[in-house]
Amino acid sequence: MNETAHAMVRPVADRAPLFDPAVVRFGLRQIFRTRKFMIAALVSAVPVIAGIIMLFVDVAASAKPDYTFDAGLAETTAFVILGGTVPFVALLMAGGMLADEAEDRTLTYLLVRPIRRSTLYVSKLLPVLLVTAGLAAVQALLLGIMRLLAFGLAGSDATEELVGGGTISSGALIALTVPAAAGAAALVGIVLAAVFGVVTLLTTRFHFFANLLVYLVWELGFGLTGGGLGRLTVLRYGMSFLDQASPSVVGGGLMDQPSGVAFSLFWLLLWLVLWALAGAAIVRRRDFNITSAAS
Amino acid sequence: MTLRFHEVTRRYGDVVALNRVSLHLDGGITALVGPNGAGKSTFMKVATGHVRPSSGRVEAFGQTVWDNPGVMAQVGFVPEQDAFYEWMTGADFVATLATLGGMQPASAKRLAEDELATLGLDREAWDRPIRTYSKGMRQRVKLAQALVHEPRLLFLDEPLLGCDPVARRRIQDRIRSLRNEGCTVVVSSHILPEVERLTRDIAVVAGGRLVAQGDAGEIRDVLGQIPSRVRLACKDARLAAAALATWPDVAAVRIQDDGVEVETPRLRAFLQRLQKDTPKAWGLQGLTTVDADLDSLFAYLAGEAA
Repeated sequence: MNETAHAMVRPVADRAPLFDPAVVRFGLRQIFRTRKFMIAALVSAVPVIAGIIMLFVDVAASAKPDYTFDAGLAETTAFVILGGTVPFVALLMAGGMLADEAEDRTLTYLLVRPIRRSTLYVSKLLPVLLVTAGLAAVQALLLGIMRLLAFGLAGSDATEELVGGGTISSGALIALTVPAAAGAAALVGIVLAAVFGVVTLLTTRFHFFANLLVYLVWELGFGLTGGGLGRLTVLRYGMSFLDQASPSVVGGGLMDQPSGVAFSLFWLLLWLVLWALAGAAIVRRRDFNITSAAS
Repeated sequence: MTLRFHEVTRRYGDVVALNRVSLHLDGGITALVGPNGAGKSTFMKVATGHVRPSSGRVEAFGQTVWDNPGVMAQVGFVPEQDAFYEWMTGADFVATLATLGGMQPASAKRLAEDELATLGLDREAWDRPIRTYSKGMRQRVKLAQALVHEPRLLFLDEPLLGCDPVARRRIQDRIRSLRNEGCTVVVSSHILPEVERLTRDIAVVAGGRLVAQGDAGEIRDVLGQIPSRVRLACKDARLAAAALATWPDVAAVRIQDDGVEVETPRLRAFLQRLQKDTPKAWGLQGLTTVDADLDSLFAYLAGEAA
């Protein structure tokens, strides 16, 4: 036995590490090469295009007294980004995670590495979360920059009206709204990716349609109705976060009875952890019957 | 004990892919042979922790195999399927998988290149995408990823499939050298003569059961005792059957639609007499020997063990 090769292999830890950096790096390499990533990047450009269209509408309705930079950004972020492009990006990135490799039969190489299955799952999920968060946040940031270029730093009469009698500088307005929008987009993206990752494990072959169904029925169907089951949706708390992260600016106009920023953030992060743990638990117990024939 | 299967059963729904298989291996090369669908691949999947046994225990180095990084650090696996990250180069593929096994990138790169050189993959191919590789080159890359960390237990599922003679010899040499270094090797194949060049230790799997295990020569002896079956197409089957039943080299005769089927423990002697003593009255039109291939051994052994 060649002792050199063994000496170069790190000792196996008694406790399973949360993630394996080498698998995370490899996962990122894989993602950036996929057609799905290219599509997700293109989808991420949709809000900017939508923003340009809305700008024209805004310009046409320039007499509208209460229109401001932040309100337009928040509305576009809420309905175009959170409600449309970010879930689709999450679906593309998380849908097929591990399932695609099982289908390609390359998963076999990962299963025989000295990595616990739960660690493998989290390590495959992390790159998905990173890329999804990045694409989601970039959408809001680009939209913010675009509107900034269109409206400039100057405030409007409506600014004072929106802040309830107080005044706020345009710089502060932008400083509050853009990060709130980017943060909400990133949060919704990663939590939905964690949910879609688990659904993918449960329905390997039909994961795209299963995830689409989850999004349309659970998130949009229940999420937009407000109460009841809607209180268990990601969109509701993403919207609440956006609405309340800069409440003096947006003025709580996005939704009825939003949750507070802290509670929304806590709920989203808890949901993320719970779904990630669920995925890890499934992978820990699941058989991967990778056959020689392409399935 | 390096590898221990204890009463391992694996079901897929109603199908029993492995049926109470018990096997102990400690060093050397063991060939797992059997026809397609015998349960060899399921054995490999259970042994490498892809699927769990429905019942029974699988242990390597005294520990359970399932989700055990301590065991997997000492295991190498060459899957049967021709699956790769096609966009990677051969050297990158092997080195990357080595880093996933815990090696530092620089060491992984060096050891990957050493292993590819040992297996005879041309240096100019190392930095080409795998999708441009021939079948033999792909097999060598697959083997290299399994060997780069110097495993103590190696599973090879049809490792010579599609290889040209040169690649075959290189791979066989490498497997022998691993055996000499103390590695326990399990080679799965449905071609008995091929694995006999690697080892005399054979485990025969058929119908999900381990039906025979031992020296290749002993297995061949069993093969020699199997009566050969010969089908004679003749016009007067009843007349032929009555005569053949009296021949000393004939163990059994069955009348069929288009002739007779004969079982003989001494095929050569039977055929010689048939050539000399066949009356024209039988209307002999032709003959075929059935079960002359390896499948008959598997079928026979499976029947014996039932």
